[in-house]
Amino acid sequence: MPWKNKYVKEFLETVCREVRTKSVHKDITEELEAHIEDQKNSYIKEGLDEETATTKAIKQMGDPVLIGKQMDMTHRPKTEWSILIMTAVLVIIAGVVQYLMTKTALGNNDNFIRFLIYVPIGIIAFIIMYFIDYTRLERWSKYVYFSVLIITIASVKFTSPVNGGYNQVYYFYLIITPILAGVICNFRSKGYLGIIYCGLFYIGAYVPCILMPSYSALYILTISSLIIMTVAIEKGFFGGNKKISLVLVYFPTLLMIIIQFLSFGQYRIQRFVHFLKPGLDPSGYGYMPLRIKSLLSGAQPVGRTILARDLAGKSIEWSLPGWNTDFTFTYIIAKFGYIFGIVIGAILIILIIRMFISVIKQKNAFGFIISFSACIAITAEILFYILSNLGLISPITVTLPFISFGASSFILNMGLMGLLLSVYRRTDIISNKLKINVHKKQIFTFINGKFIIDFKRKA
Amino acid sequence: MLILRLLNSSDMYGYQMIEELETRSENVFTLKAGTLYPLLHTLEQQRMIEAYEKLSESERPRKYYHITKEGKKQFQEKKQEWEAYTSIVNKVLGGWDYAMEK
Repeated sequence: MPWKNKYVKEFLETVCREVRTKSVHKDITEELEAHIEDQKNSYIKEGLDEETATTKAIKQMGDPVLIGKQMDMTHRPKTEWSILIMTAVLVIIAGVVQYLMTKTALGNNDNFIRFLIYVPIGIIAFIIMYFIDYTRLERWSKYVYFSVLIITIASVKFTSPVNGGYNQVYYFYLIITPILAGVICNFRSKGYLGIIYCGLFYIGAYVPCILMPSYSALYILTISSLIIMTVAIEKGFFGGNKKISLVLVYFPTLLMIIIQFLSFGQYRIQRFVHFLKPGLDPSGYGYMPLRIKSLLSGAQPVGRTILARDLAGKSIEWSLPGWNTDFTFTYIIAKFGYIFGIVIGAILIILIIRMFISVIKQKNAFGFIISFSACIAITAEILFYILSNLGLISPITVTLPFISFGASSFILNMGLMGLLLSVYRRTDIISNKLKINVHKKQIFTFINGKFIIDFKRKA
Repeated sequence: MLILRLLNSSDMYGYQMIEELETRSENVFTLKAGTLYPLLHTLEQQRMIEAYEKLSESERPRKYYHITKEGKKQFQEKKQEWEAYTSIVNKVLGGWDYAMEK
């Protein structure tokens, strides 16, 4: 900039020297620089020459060291200790549970050792996500999206299915959710067209879920995406009429659900009926719900559940298939008593609440949507896992973040948590200006069947 | 509080605020820019105000500040406090005058 004077530069540098967080330097410099410029111009109008005006304008600003110190105090990284501590507590609980499980169980001997190996990897994933500048994801989200999509689809080609499905689809869900949120940000203030593009990206993420196939992942993905889109629209992300935007999201979704239902309806209804009346098919669909029911009905405050009837005298591990994976929460209640279950459940619920509070505090739009999506992904896992484990919904394959056994899910959840806390950490230290170019904005409107492009609309 | 008052009427950028304050108070209040900006950033963190960037007439992007709902609420509270305070002071002064006149 031609008017950039050496004194001005010196002044701004002195201010910035006091501000330890480098990422806000640019913002502060721009703002103060604009101010000095305005002040200078006003002095010139009063009849001073350029140099005197500049010096006077700088003098008018005050002590640069003091300004810098005050700025530094407002722009500090923040730590969400409660979430951090709760996560640590959950990991320790997981350690205890895995240790006890390894001790009691057959064919489960090395689970605790594997746990000890994957925990440090998870912590590294957490640290990386925590210290990385998440704002970069905004620009890269589309590329990351396509790479993840391609890798997932390719991985299906080169691996064989387990139990008729591919596990990676579930991990795919965990990764793709925050990436989709990043993609949504790319279409910010793009109007209805932006929403349609977001829909296309969602459909792209839909493909692996169908290919694998994993309906659990598909459901969670759909529900999470709907929640994220609804919040984004309510926050006025896309511009345009909120009601029309919502219709634009929900109408195709509803249509898709209906089509799904028509093609798989029979199967769905059957599962639903069996879920309501598990006694109809005790060795098929009703098997798990019945087992969960009998395990939980005899649960004690502390200690082993009392098994009755056909399960009397059998071990809990034998009675509960998937005790070390999909039904760990049921297992904990049955094996150690429901007080343990309540404690873990309470920690998880407080964790969810704290996560949402940290998200609401976000001022930056991208930070908000990214941390919100990470929060939704973790919350969805927890809720579906607990509900399925308590027999309140028909059993689905999800993992319980941090607690249930599995290296991939542990590492991914730690990464998501790192991302969430990274956003919180940067609440006050990233530039959070919304850029508004009043005259360049184009908004598409659809009135009486006509497609109108409105150039005059204000933000 | 004065900053909130200024932003309550319209969105402004920093320099504009100082100018506006000077004209409104007939040069009684002059706020140093060095005091203003840290204050603005703190208010922003307390979510009383929010910032956005807009191109001004001179085509240079400027950081405008906009008062939030919370900020408006805070302003009303502060205003009431201030009014209560001044009315008491006026009463005391008024009472004094009355006593003096007698």
